[in-house]
Amino acid sequence: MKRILLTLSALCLGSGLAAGGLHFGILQSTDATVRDLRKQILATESPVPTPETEGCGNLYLGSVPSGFAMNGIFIAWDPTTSHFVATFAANEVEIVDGSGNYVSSFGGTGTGNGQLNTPAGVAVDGSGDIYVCDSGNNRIQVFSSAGGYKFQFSENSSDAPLEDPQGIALDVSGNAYVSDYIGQIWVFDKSGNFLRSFGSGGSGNGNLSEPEGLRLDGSGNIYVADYGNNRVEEFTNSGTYVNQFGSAGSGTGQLSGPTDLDVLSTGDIYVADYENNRIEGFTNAGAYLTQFGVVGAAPGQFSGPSSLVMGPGGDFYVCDSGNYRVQVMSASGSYIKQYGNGGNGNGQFEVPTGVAIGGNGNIYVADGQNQRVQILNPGGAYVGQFTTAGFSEPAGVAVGVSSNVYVADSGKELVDIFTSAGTFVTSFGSAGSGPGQFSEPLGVATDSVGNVYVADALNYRVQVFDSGGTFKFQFGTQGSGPGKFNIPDDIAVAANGNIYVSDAGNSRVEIFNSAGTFISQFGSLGSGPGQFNGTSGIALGANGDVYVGDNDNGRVEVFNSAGVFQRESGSFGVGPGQFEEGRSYFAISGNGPLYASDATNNRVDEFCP
Amino acid sequence: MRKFSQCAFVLGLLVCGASLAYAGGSPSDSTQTASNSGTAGDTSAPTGDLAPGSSEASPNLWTAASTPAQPGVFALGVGFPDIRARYDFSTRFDVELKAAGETSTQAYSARLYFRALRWNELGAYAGAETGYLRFDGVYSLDGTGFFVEPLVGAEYFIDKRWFLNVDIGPAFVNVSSSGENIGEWQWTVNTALYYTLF
Repeated sequence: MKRILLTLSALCLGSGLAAGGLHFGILQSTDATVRDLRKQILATESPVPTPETEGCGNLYLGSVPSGFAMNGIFIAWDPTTSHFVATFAANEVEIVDGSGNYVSSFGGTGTGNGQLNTPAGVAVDGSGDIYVCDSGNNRIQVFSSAGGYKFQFSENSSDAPLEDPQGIALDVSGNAYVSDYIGQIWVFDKSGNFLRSFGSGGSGNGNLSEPEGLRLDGSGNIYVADYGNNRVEEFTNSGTYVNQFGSAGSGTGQLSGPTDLDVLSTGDIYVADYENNRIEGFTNAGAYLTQFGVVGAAPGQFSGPSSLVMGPGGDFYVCDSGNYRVQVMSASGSYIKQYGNGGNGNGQFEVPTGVAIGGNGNIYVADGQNQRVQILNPGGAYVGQFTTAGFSEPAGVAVGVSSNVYVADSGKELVDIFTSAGTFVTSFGSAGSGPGQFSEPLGVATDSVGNVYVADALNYRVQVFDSGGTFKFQFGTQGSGPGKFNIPDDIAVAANGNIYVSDAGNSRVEIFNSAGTFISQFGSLGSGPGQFNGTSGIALGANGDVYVGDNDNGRVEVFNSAGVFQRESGSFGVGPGQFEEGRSYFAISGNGPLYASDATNNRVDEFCP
Repeated sequence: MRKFSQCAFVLGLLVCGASLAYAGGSPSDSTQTASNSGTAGDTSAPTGDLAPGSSEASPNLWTAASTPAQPGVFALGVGFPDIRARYDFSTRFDVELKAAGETSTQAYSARLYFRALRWNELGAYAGAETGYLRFDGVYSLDGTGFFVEPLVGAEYFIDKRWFLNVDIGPAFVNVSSSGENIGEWQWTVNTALYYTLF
């Protein structure tokens, strides 16, 4: 697979596709910048298409895993359930369990009771009630632990006209401390009655500039992330200024746009240093202790850490908002795991590639970097996995007529055969260019009589085997003319025996008859309807519709069996139903949903067919 | 690792070219090259059938950087993917208009070259480029932008009329769409093949 990516990059040199940090020509540099602009827009807007629950119109239905799939803003821990609660820019509050599994969500856009407009800080009291800063509606709303609306306070209050509340913390009595945009801290009792306020806008001692998250220590003193002043300020419970620490910058002990903090039982204070993409630790006197995290998307790296909380096990849960995930870090700052965007737990993926559907409806997903194939039930729940063949880089997956599962391993240059339960049967193929040998086998497909078709990507051909792996014939050579390939990445076989091959390097789909004779082709390089910017995966629906991944345009395009463009779904991005550029594969069974592996977002998306 | 390899290759090419240029660019060499470079108005004319690498090989677009050049030379180039028109308007400076495009993105820019070194077939230069950007449907966005890029590069003269160049620089790319704006530095490599018209 790595060689494929390198080769694709080389192919892209003339077509303006990004090739990494070094760009060939100003068009590639522009492409990379526009991509980051798109991410910036996604981070400031709700990128989430509304899941459709009725009807089926080529829309996003859901993802596996589903927990924390969006850009969390603030996070809190519910001591009564050991669940984590996070607010999202999509006007939603989401609850996941301690393992990151989705539990429930509530909210919705609006101004009515229980609806939200740009929710920010969140806190949970000792009885499990959830307090949410409904910043766009200038109020605090209180929900039960199940998400039921209970009451609200401060809306249109003459006592405490909140202006864009951002952070909230609760003391042991249930009093709520709320920071708002204009630089004040408002205190309410547990029924929402205004008690007092302190602070004011500015940069002097005791002033605040766009304060965000806040917490109380064991003695009731209040620590506020003073975002605009790049510092943390400490107040007594009555609002008297005590201390401050931090200054603008990226050096040790400095802060750049701190958005949240947590006060540990030791009194130490850990700050989400948002603009510096790190977490910094201080003593309660403000002396620098430690830091962890650098900018990036790899495990342990951050892109805008917006909130953090120490969980019951002594680990930090950090909203890594720009990477659309929650990372779990040890108290010393070591990466442990993440939710929402990759992982190696059951039902989590790291660069999922091939996906196929068995006769019983189970979904087989090649979990690339985890070197395994996971089995999910039709509802997306984890069923099992098989790793017995010692996968290197599992890519395409297909289920044969005998229910055997075929897995193309592009790292080991062979195809493994398993029973539907995951018991290894045999493998066939070896590295090379002769008949029955492979160079980066990617897609694999089967037909109704048991033949197995393998997209032999860097041999620029398709090879056909019987169900036991005996070579039968091959077709295709390198090139861009009819019947030729430039990195064929996936295959699908129609009921009439016609073979559809997605030809990634030529940004097209070619159709062959069952003997491998070229019939027609469709698609060209571009971003318009019916065009591709590097194909990525192909599947056929029951009515003959052809689903083709459009890699660098971040979408799935649907054609009829003759190759006429019908519709598209998805867009570039990391939200549900969106795709980041990266290899994707598709599977569809009968009239069922379309399953799409999203290698970069580490999940499997489900779409209406 | 891939990025490193690409950088290493390009930088290696540049360093190699610049080193050769520097090593061979002694005043005596330059003088000798200049003495064989023809007269004004004759820059594209051959000065003899000299083997590549010969110290008497004739520059066709300009003469050695340390000697007077002949303004007025005009060349067309094809880059990846762009077309260029280049004009030598002084001893050391060239200007160039460049248009790059594909289905969804276009760039229209101007370049200024300063020829720093020249030794036989090899030359080294510095320069700057600025231009206008337009994109349509890139990552679902439509918009415009601009870029500026300082650059250093090397060129290789294949024969009397054909030459190649490659350069690298940090391009500041600023794009706007949907009311949002971003500006980023992007390491950018450019290369092109030129044909000297006159």
